[in-house]
Amino acid sequence: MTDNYYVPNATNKINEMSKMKFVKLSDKELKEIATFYQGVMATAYEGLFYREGRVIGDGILEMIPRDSDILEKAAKLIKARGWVDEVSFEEDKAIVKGSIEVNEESAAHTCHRLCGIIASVYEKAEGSIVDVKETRCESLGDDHCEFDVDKRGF
Amino acid sequence: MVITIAEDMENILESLREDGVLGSAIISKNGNILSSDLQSNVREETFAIMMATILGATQTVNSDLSMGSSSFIVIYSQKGKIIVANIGEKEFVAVITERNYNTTGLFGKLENITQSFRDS
Repeated sequence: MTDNYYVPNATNKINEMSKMKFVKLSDKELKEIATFYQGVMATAYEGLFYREGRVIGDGILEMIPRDSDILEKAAKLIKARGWVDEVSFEEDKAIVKGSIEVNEESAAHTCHRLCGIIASVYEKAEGSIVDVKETRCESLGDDHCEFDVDKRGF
Repeated sequence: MVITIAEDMENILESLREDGVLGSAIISKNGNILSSDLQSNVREETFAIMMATILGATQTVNSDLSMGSSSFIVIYSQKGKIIVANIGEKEFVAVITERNYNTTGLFGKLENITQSFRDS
């Protein structure tokens, strides 16, 4: 596991991570899961996936040691966990290449979990509540996915 | 009336306030609170996504049965009612009322709100 994942330089974190189990889902399986949920609950699935993303984002943040550069470490972990090929965090937006949630057959943005992950990361880094919205998506033919980050404050 | 800004949404919720109405919210169909007038004991985020899920599932059933889109969903519970009104392409209203609240007038208000959203 340590070959594939960033491991914080703290013994308790290493011990904690060594007990964690991970599963792997393919992009095809994720698409089929999204299609299934969309078929059951229409656009409400977007909100559920967003909240899933928040949970995943919070889990990723727990792996980052204190006094680290949160955005830099989070980018490495999000990539290592297979959510993206590349991600860069800027002042008020995140740029992503190769999101695993991309679905070329979709007529709308598809990266709802990633949206939640990014929201968690920015809230931790900025110490304020943020709204994150996907404004460009490879699913719609854009050459990257882009997430606008609106800081609302507490 | 044309629905344009958050203030308009607050006005809509204010228009729903009356005896027997315990709270209301305008929610996006993907489960985000757009404006709320809910009691402090309601967990807004959870309430919003649950209501969106109920409406979304109803839309799917209606589609499968070729019944068109749903206008209202009413949940009768032991201690109250929840009325979900499908007011816009991307929004809906959820209203929580007391068990014995007469919803006749509320349906009329919600139909007017739906018309306002269509006009905006």
